[in-house]
Amino acid sequence: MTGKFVYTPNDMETERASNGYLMSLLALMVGMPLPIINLLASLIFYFSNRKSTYFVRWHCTQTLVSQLTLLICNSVGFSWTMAIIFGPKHITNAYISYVITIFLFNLTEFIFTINAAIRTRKGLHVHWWFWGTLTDLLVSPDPENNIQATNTFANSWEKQPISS
Amino acid sequence: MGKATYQFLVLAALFFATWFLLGRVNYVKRLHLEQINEKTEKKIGDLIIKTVYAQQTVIENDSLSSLMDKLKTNLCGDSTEASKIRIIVVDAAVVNAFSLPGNNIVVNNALIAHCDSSAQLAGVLAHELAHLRLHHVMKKLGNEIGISILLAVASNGNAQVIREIIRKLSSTAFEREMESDADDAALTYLEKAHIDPAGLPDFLEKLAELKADVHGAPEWISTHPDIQKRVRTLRSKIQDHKASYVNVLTEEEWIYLKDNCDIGPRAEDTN
Repeated sequence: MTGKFVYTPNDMETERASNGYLMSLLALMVGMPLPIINLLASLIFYFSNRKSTYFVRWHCTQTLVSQLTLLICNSVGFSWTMAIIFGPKHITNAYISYVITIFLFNLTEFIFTINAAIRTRKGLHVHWWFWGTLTDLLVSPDPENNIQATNTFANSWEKQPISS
Repeated sequence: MGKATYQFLVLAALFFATWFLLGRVNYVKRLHLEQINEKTEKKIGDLIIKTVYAQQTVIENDSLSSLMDKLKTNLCGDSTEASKIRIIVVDAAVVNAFSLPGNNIVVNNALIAHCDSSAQLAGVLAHELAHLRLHHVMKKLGNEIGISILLAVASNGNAQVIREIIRKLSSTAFEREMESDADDAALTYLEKAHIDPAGLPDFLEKLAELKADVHGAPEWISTHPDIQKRVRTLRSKIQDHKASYVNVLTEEEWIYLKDNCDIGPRAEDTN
């Protein structure tokens, strides 16, 4: 879902927030067989922007938590594959269907990330199902910037006009 | 928090539902994964057996073979599957038995000579059968020799690689987890066949004692490490002796088998 943020982010903020998505995207391409690389890239980007503005921190956190969820799913698939190649396990229908499932979820996340990177660059606020809600709970508005966003941001956000 | 939990549960349900629905398709059959493995395995197995016949003295005694087949059929519980499995008894002083690709099991007559009962021999055969059924043999070869080399062997039959395969399977151990899985499966086969499963740990213990008595370990011991731990695990999994246990071979048949596998003075030479 796309909407407006509690304040209008400036050009530098939208670029940084958009880069957060791109960072995970590039890492996804490079580190496809090693799921940890995606998370590391998002983690580095998150820490380098943790003192940034609310808008940037919010989007970096959304990227990070989505990567973390995928990391868990991908790690299971990775260790299962390793057990098949080097261990006693063999290829089963459950394994193949699991690989297809995580592939579909990764692909969906990939498409959503591209979409989020483009829309965020335009200054729009991309709020994902579950990860957006989780980010609302994790990131609080920066008091130094005196932004009057509340902890019930999710509710106020829903009242914003939505463009798709 | 409630909203996040609800959304997480929906997402998790979506993930598991996708996995479950995709899992309804039999990919292994559709992609012919089993057939590719079986075909390659059979080709390699045939080449290996040729080499075994050329290099070792195979005991070709119909009565002995029929007794081994009797044990095999009881363990398989299915005559169709049993007919696909071949047990070859070779004249060798090394106490050893090993599985080979293409559903082949090689048993040295020295091993039969060291068994005190048909239940002990059945225990060893059940363990080797488990390695075959659980695809441990091809997995081990795939890991140690490489799938591409195995495929090349299947097409051109490189004699040197075949000798290396026999050496690896007859004198190197499977991974610990594979051994443990094979032990568990062997107990199941023995129980199903109403054969006393205590024969397997009994034989392992006997060989461990033999190891202490003579120079060098019997081959089956060196390829099956952690004997004491495995014996303890096996015994803990075996329930009390049941009255329903039967001797697959009669006393006369067992004596006949032992007599024909007597290795005489060479018995001391276990290496």
